[in-house]
Amino acid sequence: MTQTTVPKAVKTVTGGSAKRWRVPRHVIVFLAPAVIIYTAFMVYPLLDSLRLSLLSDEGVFVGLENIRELFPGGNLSNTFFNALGNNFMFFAFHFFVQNPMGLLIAVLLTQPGLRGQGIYRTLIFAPTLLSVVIVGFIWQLILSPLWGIIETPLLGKTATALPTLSLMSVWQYLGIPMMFFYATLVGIPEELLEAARVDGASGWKIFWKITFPLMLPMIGIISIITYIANLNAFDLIYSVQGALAGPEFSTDIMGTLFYRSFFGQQLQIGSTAVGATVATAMFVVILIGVLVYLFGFQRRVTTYEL
Amino acid sequence: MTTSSKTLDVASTPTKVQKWSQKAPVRIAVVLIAAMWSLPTLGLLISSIRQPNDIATSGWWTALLHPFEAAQWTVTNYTDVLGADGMFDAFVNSLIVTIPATVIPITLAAFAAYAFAWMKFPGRSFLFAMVVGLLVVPLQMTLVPLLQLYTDLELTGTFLGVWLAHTGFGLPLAVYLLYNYISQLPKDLFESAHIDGASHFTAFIRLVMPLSLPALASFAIFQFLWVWNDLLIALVFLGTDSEVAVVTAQLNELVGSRGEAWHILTAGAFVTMIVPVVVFLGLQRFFVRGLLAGSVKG
Repeated sequence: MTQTTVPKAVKTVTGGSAKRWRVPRHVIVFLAPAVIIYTAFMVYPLLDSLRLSLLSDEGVFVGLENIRELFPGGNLSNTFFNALGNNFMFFAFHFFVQNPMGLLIAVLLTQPGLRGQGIYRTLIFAPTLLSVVIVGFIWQLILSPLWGIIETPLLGKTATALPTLSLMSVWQYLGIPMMFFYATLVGIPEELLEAARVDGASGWKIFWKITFPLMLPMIGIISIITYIANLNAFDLIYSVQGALAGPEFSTDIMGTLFYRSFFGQQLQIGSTAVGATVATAMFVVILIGVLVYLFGFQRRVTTYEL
Repeated sequence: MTTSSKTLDVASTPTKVQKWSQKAPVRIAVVLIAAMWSLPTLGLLISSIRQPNDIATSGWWTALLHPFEAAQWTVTNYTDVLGADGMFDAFVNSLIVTIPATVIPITLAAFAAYAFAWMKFPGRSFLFAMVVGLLVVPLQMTLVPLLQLYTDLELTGTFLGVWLAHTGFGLPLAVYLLYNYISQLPKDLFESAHIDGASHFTAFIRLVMPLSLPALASFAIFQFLWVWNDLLIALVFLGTDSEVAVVTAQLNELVGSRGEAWHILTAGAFVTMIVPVVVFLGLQRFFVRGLLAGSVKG
């Protein structure tokens, strides 16, 4: 992974440097539009969401009261932890099924002598081009209890609904980690592998001792991106199961919980306070994961210059 | 080097059969996986040319058992879709939403990325860290206050509102990817431009933009696909009024109807799939390059 050089802040000295750039004016022109929109759409809402989670629906300051509802003992605690648990199961499927499969396929595709790699790559990547609505529909055509290949209504039973949806999502997004791993594998110089082969190492050994360590940084990046993306997930479950994330909330994840809390549905009215609180909780959970990754993994993994 | 490999050759060159049996498992595995990944979508295509009644009563694979029975095939689903009230408008709406929502973020991000890469000013690193760091923020966190802001400004249900929203959400990643690329452009390029008297602006338009075409194209693909296929932002900021509903929202409405409109849905899904597929196939070579630009060295 390339170490992006973080620009150092340098005080501009007028008239002293060889390049006579009218820096201040240009900086503003170049940066202003992006910074303005960015502040309006990212910074302000982030801070405001945090603020709203400290208020009640009427705007009265209640401090940590809303957040306390999410913890054990609070009204929302069961719902929240159910959603959290489901979300982690959703993530687990992607982490343990999607990413290893992506790695495996990438390795298979880089085997010497395989022809038509481009076609296989495109076919496996194609589902990522689809809208989740289409993905949900495609699988409902196959899994329908009325005529589908399996008689049990996988999407209608509490025990199987979430795994089924997770696997549908895995089917759709497998192409992305596969592409990244493929790009990384292709970047490993052939001489390294050739030298190992000449020395008599078996294919398996080459993989574990040479290829895998070289891929660890990318595996780490893909893992944390998977984490962030899955904890943000919403579209597929909303499209297939609706905002109620049935059956009996077995497919409820934090994204759907947020949507339901904020916008409400037939059985409950929407609540700004609860919505903001759930969103804040999502943010915290994601942040913890990212910090764990940064300090527990990225600092320790060795990146090799190839 | 050549002599040693020659002696090795005699001992370890596999015979033709050995070579084939080594490659066969790999080939079989890859073909199987590629098939598993294409079949579901193929099923959708088959469904879209079946009779409406059949779609909701039997699996599409049964149609393949007797493929020459002409009565079960039809193209009426497609004609219905193209003539149907909602779908064509939704298609146009999607284009209206997606194209500006791709062009605007790229333009703004290119300017900003250049500023971060090649202009010196105080607070540069802090600002940059903030832009990239907030990639972590979940979309949902921004929705609540944004909706309130939008309602105050009467932007809900307008295309301008959605363009701004998609721009705002796409900027962090855009700036990050473009910065990675632009900062790796050779320094001498800009030095000679300075010596020739070019301003930042000229250097940007004449040098940076043409040279960054691969990075711009690959981000354009990401953003286009993301906006075209997006459901959440379309639902929240545009709604499902037929005047403004985009294709994803419209399809979502149809799916909810549990069977009656599924024949429209099959054809509709396929028609709307064409756009991202065409965009992807057209800009494919930039795509892999773009993946590499952001994360892998070289």
